[in-house]
Order: sequence, then C-alpha cells, then structure tokens
Amino acid sequence: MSTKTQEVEPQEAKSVVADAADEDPTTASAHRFGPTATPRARTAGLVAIALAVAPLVLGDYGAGILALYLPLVILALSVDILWGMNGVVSFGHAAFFTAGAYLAALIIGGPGDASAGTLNYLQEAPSGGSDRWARLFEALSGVAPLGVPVLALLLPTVAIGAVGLLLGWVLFRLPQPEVYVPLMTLGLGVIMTTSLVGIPFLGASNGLSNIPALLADSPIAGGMGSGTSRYVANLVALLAVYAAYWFFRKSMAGKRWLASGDEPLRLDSLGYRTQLIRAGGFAASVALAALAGTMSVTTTGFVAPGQAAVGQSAMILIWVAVGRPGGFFGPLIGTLLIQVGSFLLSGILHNSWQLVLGLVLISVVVFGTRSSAWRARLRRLLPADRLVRLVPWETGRR
Amino acid sequence: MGTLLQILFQGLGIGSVLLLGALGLMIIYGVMGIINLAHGDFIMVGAYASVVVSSAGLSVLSVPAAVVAAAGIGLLADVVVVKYFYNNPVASMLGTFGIGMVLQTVVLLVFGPELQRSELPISSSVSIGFGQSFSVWRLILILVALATAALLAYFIARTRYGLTIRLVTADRGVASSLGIRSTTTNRWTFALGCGLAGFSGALAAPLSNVSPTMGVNYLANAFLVVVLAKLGDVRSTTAWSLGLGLALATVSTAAGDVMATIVVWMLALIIVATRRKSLIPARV
Amino acid sequence: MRKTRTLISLGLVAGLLATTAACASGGEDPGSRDTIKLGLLYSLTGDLSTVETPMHDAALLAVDEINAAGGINGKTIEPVVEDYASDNAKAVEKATKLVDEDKVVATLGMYTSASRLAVLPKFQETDSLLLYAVVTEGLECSPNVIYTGITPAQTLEQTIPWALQTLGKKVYMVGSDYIYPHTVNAIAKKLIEQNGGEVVSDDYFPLGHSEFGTAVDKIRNSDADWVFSSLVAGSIPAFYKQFHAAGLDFDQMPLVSSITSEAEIQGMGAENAVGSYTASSYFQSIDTDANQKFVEAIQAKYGADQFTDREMAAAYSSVYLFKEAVEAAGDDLSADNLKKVFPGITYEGPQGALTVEPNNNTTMSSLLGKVGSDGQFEIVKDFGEVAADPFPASVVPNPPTCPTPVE
Repeated sequence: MSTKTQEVEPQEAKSVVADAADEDPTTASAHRFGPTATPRARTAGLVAIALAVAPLVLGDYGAGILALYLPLVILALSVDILWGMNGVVSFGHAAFFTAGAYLAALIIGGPGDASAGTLNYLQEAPSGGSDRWARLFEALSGVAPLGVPVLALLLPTVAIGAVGLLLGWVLFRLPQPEVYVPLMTLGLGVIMTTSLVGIPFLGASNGLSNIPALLADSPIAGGMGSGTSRYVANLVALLAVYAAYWFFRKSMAGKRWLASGDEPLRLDSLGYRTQLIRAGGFAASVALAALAGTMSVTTTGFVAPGQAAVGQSAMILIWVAVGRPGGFFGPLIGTLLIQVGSFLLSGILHNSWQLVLGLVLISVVVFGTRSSAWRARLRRLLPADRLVRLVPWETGRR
Repeated sequence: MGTLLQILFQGLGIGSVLLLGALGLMIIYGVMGIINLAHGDFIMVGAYASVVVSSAGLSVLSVPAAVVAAAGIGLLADVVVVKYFYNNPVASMLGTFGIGMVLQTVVLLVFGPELQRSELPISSSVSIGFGQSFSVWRLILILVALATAALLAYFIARTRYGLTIRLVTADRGVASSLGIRSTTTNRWTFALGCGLAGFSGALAAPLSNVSPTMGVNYLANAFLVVVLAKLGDVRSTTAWSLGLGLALATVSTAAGDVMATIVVWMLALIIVATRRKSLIPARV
Repeated sequence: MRKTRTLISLGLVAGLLATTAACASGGEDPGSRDTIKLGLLYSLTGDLSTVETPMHDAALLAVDEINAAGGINGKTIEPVVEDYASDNAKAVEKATKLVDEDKVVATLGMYTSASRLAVLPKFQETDSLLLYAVVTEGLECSPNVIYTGITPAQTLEQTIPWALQTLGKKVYMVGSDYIYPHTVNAIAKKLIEQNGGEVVSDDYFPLGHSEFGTAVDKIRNSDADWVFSSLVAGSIPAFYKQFHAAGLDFDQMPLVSSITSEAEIQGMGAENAVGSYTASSYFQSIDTDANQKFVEAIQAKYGADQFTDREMAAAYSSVYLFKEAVEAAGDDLSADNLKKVFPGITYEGPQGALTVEPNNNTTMSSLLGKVGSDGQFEIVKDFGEVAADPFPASVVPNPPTCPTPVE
C-alpha cells in the first residue's frame, strides 16, 4: 500500500477522516493546507439528486428557507477557492457579494431614487440623471429569454470579476499575500459600507428592495410555490457552479492553482506566470461572490449597505472553517449547518444563541489545529484495524 | 489659524485613542503571531469594568479595574484556547472572532443591551489660544497615550522581560534553545496586550458609548495602524496613529466624517499596496 | 469514510430542515385556533438590541396584561418571539417563518427603515400585517403596515416655528448619515425656511460614529443660535458628552432633537442632557394615570432604574391597538378583514389618545420637552393631537393617495 514517506508505526493507520499527516485545515502555511480528494462523480451526483428532491420533502416553506441559503453556499465556495486551495483568506468577499447584489438589483429593479423610494418624494422633479439610468436598466432587464433576466445574472458576475482581476493583480504583487490580502480586503469592507450609505442612487442606507425572484415572470416557474421557484433557480446556479468546480479540481488548471498557493516560487521557476494565475483565480473567486450576490438579492428581495460589513465577511470564513477549508463539500456543509443551526437555535435561545455559535467556532478552530494530535490519541484508543483504510491521496486522485 | 490649531488638537485626540488601541494589537501580533479579532471586545470589557467600579463609588479604581479585568480574561482565554493559535494567523483570526462573540454575548446577558452610563471625570475645557478651547479630558488622554507608548517602548527596550519579548519575536527557536519558555512569555504578553486594550476602553468610555458592540469601531482602525506601522516598533506605531488621527481630523473638517473615513482608508490601502519592502516579518 | 461523513452531514442538515418544516402549523384559518398568535420580530442581539429589546419587553408586558384581563374575546394572545440579530437578511428569514410557518395574525416589529423595507415585500406578497411602532420618516403608507410611530411632520410642524421664535433664527443641523435623519432634516429645513429661519449648516456622520470633536468646534465657531440634531443611537451620548467637554452648554447654544429620549439620557447621564429639548409623542414624565400605571408596571418587571421611552410606549400601545382591532374583526382574522377594521381604531394609553387613520398612520399627541436635572423631560409645550400625514404637503410636491403599496 502506498504511503507518504513518514515515520509511521505500522500499527498507526491514518484515519480516513484525516487528511495527509499533519493536515491542518486552518493554517495557511505552505505544505499544510490543501483540498481533500475530489469525490467521485457518483457521490457528487447523489448529493445533487438529494438537493433536487429536497423541496418535495420540505414543502414550499422549507424550500423557501433553504433557498435563502443556497447563494450563501456559492459565496462560501468562492472564499474556499482562495482559502482552502490557495491559502489566502479574504475579509472582503461580503463586499463583492453586495456589489453583485446591487448591480443585479439595479438592473432588475432600477435605481433607488427613481423608484417610489422615500427621498424621491422630497424632490421637486425626479433627477434627470437617474431617469436615464432607469431606462438603461429597463432595457437590460428586458433581455429575458423564457422570462429570466439573464443580463442581471451575467453582467454583475463579469463586471465585478473584472474588478477582481485588477485587484488580484495588485494584491499578488505584494510579498506575502497571505498577510496583506486579509488586511486589504478588510479595508474594502469598511470603505464600501461607509460609502454606500451616502448614495441615493443606490437607495442610500435603505438599499434597494422589492426585487422580484428570477423566475417570477418566467413560464419555467409554472405552478411552483414562491419558495420552490426560488429554490429551483438557486439550485440550478449552485449545481452549475459545483459542476464547474468539480471539473476544475480534477484538471491541470486546478493543480496549477494549488501549486500557485503552495509553492509559488517553484511554479515561477517552471515558467508559469504565477502572479497571473493567482490574479485570475482571485478574479474567478470575486466573480463567484458577485454571482452569489445576484442569486441572493433575487431570493431575499433586498440589498442594503450593511451586508458588505467586515462582520459578514467573517461569517463566511466561519462557514468555510466549519465545513473544512479545501473540502469539496465543505462550503455546502459548513454554510448549511451554521445557517440552519442559527435559524433554529435563535428561535429557541432568543438572545444567547451567538454564545453557542462562538463556542462552536472556537471548538472547530481548536480542533482543527489540534486534530492530528487528538486523532493520534483517538487512534490509540480505538482498535487499529477499524481505522485501517488509507486515503488514496498518494494514488493521484487529486 | 484657530481652525488649524483645532485640527491639530483634534487629530492628536483621535490619534491617541487609535494609539492605545493599536499598541495592544501590535504586541500580540508581533510576539505571538496572533491576529486578535477580539481586541475591540477587550476594549469593551475594560469599559464595562470601569463603569461597574465607578458606579460602585470607587471611581479612582475604575481604570486599574479595567486593566485587571481585561488582562485577567485575556489570560484565561490564553490558558484555555488561545495557546493553540500561536503563529497561526488564520486560526487566530477565526478563534479570536469566536472569543469576541462569546464576550459580547456574555456581557449582553449580564448587563443587558442598553447603553451604560460612564461619566467624564473632568468635564471642563481649557483655552489653547486663538480663541479655541479643548476638552481637558481629551488632553489628558493624549498625554496618557503618549506616556503609555513611551513606557512600553522603555519596557521593551530596556527591561529583561522586554528583551525576552524581542527575542521571542525575532526567533522563537533560538529563544527556546536559550531556555526561554515561550509559552510563559506568550501568555503574559497576551495578558499585557489585553490589559492595554482594557486600559484604552476605560479611558475612551467617558467620551463615547458603552454597549456590548462598542468594540467594532476600534478594531478596524487599530488594524489599519498595525498594518501601516513597522511591526513591534512602538515609535512607528505612535507616529502612524497620530498621523492617521491628523489625517482624519483634517479631512473631516473639510469634507465631513463620511468622506474622512473613505479617503483615509483608501490612502492607507494605497500606501500599503505601493510598499516594496515587506515590513511584516515572515510569520506565515 | 469521508463520503459517509459527507452524507451524514448532509443528512443532518436535511433532518434539521425537515424538523423545521414539520413544525409548520399547516394551512389553518388564523381565527379558528384557541390562541391569537402575534409575531414579535425585534433584535435581541447585535447593535440594535440596545433600542429594540426594550420595545420587545414593553410589548410582552402588554401581552401579559391583556391575557391577565381575559385575553381577546376569551382567547389568549400567544406571542411568537424571533430575534433578527440586527441583520436584515435574518429579518427576511424570520419574517418568512412568522408569516408562512407560524401563521401569525399580525407581526409587531422592525426598527430601522432598512429593516422594514427588507421585510415589507414579504408582508405585501403574502398580504399579512406588520405593526411598525417606531418613529418613521413617513413618506410611505403601505396597506400592509400599520404605522404607530410618530412622523417628522407631526413633531416638527409646530415645534420648528416655536423654536425659531424662542431660540433664534439661525440653525445648525446635524444628523446620522442615513435616510431617516436626512428626511427629518430635509423636512425641518423646509419648515425653517418657510418660517423665516436660516440653516447655517447640515452635517452628517456615519451611523455609530462617536468622534465629534471637529463637529462641535464647527458649531462653536459658527453664528448659529441653536442646534437641530437628528443623530441617533450611539452617536447621541457621544455628541452630547463631547459638546460639554468642549465647554459648550445648552443655555448658550440650545439643542432640539426629535429623537433623543430617556434611553440615551440614561446612557450619557442626566448632567450631559440638562437643558436640551426633544420633540416627541411621549415622555416618561407624562402625568396621567395611564402612564403612571405603565411606568410602574415596567419598573416592577424590569427594575426601578428602567426608563420608559417613546418606542416602548408605542410598542406597548400597538399591542393594545391590535387587541382593539381583533375584537372589532370578530371571527374573521384574515389580513384582509383586519385591514378594513384598523382605520378608526382608538386606544387611550400612556401616550394619550391614539387613532389609526385610513392612511394607516396614527394620530397622536405632539409634545415638546426639556430635560431637567433628574433626567426626565419637563413638558414645555403640548401641541395637542396631530393627525399623521406621511406626505406632508409643505414638503412633498406630489403626494400619492394612501394607502399605496411600496414598489
């Protein structure tokens, strides 16, 4: 059986729950992070089917609640691409998410001060500028094959992805991006929240609201309940993203991406343009976050400046941490566990549920840093043969 | 001229609050490689401790109580949890964020969500020339902040413990081979950092609000200072804090506070982005 | 094994959701149950818990009182409490739960306009009722919302002329940077100019901002006669404290606000607020039996130091208004019927007489109070009951007809 070149006692088998020895899900240093094996198509397919069938089990209300969380899974995935696969933590993805949400909301719903919003009533006449924009946005949302305003989906993703490319180019020029990126993206969150509040075009502090669901005017929705139709739209997006992610992880591009975070210098010496690769990956991550924002705003129906705050970005990191950075299903599991858990917990523990959440987070992080040591202790407790099942990392399944 | 004088004093005032906040954060990151996202919440703990002690009639003890409370809780946190995060920026970010959530909720449950009352020990103001006057308490704050920075710099540069801190920061391996128990050093340094946070909370509380979520504002700004300044260098931290305060005061007088936040942050990010030399030692 | 772990986790999640779904009460007619469900949607954690938890507490007090007195038509009110943690996205989740799963008769909640606008589509889409008991900038009259908070026009249309006469013609305006203060200040500005005054400056500060050194200097160096403040929440104590720290006081430079209440005064200490004015619909010091009873009840339940402010009184009164409406609605507790029944409903409580109007806003008293050394307001002016007009003609050139859904 193939093993990593480690001094491992013959009795000490690796638990399949563990990754390669000393795998530390929360450390960003080289050699320590890395994704788990990409699951087989069969497994992924099973999960997809389970998700597709969920509305039948949960009913329209349950589907509606779950629909609120699916875009957040995409958001968590966007952060995980950077963190789990490239070792870079971003504190600003909530800002990109919100930017995508605003753009989509503008296209579908029009500018804040041109709609029947509050500030508009105080003006003698609607401002001509926002009138032109309103017409532009209406034209854009008019491109709707099968009643789905596709430009509201594509434009934010592409536009904000482009901004992400520029940002990534700058950020990865700096030495030690693992340290600078979190701090710079933190600043982004601060700037965005403060400035958004003062822009009436974007609805100022109220944000943009009353955004209809993507399938609202579409025959696809047919006789579905409002919760179910939102769920379907979001699930399609999620499955598409996950499918792309699955292929990416199995491809050479995926390996290059891993390498660019793991050993950027070596990759450079092989002739690859690491900075470009990392900037590109950053751009993809940002674009995904924007897509998540788009899906979210059409599900919740609103977007407000507060959603770009640093605290929200920190929540995303919690989802990823709980689900295990680098794990294929990590974003899905982490996000759903935390969000559904909070939803149910806050219904019971009205004002102390965040205490539980904080304790859970601490435990997860501590476990992450100590897992190898604790697993070793666990192994000694349990019969070795029960745990003998080697993870096929080394057989090149990555 | 009067306006310029006011901007100067206001800037120093804002800067001194930033300085007190940044010092604790800097020490913790410099020595232990921990990014403490609960720093704002330790400031909050200090503010609450000072309020509790003051309302019991012992105002003189309010500041020491704040320091002791924050340092004590920091010590406890380290013994239980934070020790797993040394030299692990990512784990420390998430773990301390969790600690912050716990602190906030506990304070919320014990004290309730309402704003707490914190009185200005000295509410008068003094003339600073050109027809301008300035709050005495703010002046005291500026002096205290500068004195604290100076004391800390002396402590780090000249005392034995300070030497230990510098050694552990520079090279943990060598330090331990010399017999320095880095765990103990780290533990007390974390307590020191949290104690500084509590200190700033007690001093800043009379000027603003005391509520469970008050720490958030302080955190982001303290971070900015730490990123801009040279790590582990008290002088640099002081200079950048005061500079930032002056910048905020200037832009805010000219264009309002919202613009001040935006402009100053963008400038700071540009400064960081255009630096060629890596000023943060390779800890990752 | 890892696959199993994945499937187990997914199963766990699915299980959690199924449990949630299973708890749904199903499509019953709200009037057929033994209890009358009232949703309470406030922030019990997070930044806004400072102001929203007291409202939640006051509402629960009203529920307890009504139930102790026999409930509504013999049925008890069942409060369904949810915390949205100062997070508008969570607010949408919780609103969905209250409306779709718990099938509440109505919901009392929300605080900021942003939070109200976030949940409004849900209430409009499912045609359920939201009772909004907070001061509002007006400029809205959704058929699915009953606004029991006072609007700026109600407070300002008499206060501003009085202030211009009594305090001076030049006004320095400050406010927190979001829609409510902007709107209040815009309305105040028009009123000031229409009444012969002059606005010297109109400055805004980010929400939660607590650094007012420069602002106070500017005020001191201006030639303003008084300050009109639309600062909210945490900025208020910071501003008032720093105002005094800089050597100013409310005798030389008076301050009028339509927001500052007993809550903030307790937070900053009475000495920092003495002499300032607030225009409002309620003060703890109102000397009526109904109010004394209310204050005593709150203090009995929450401590002798507990203050009562306008928002708490409004939340409390809203529950009673709800009771009146449900009684008038009889057996049909659908939102449709409640909407027909609400206009005309009155209640006389701690705030005095409240009447819900056909435009879904509430007529109530307009008062002007001055803070005394005990931290309580001395009522300087009582402008009587003022009808609520969310689109005051003095400032809105093209008012829509109310109620009209929010687009």
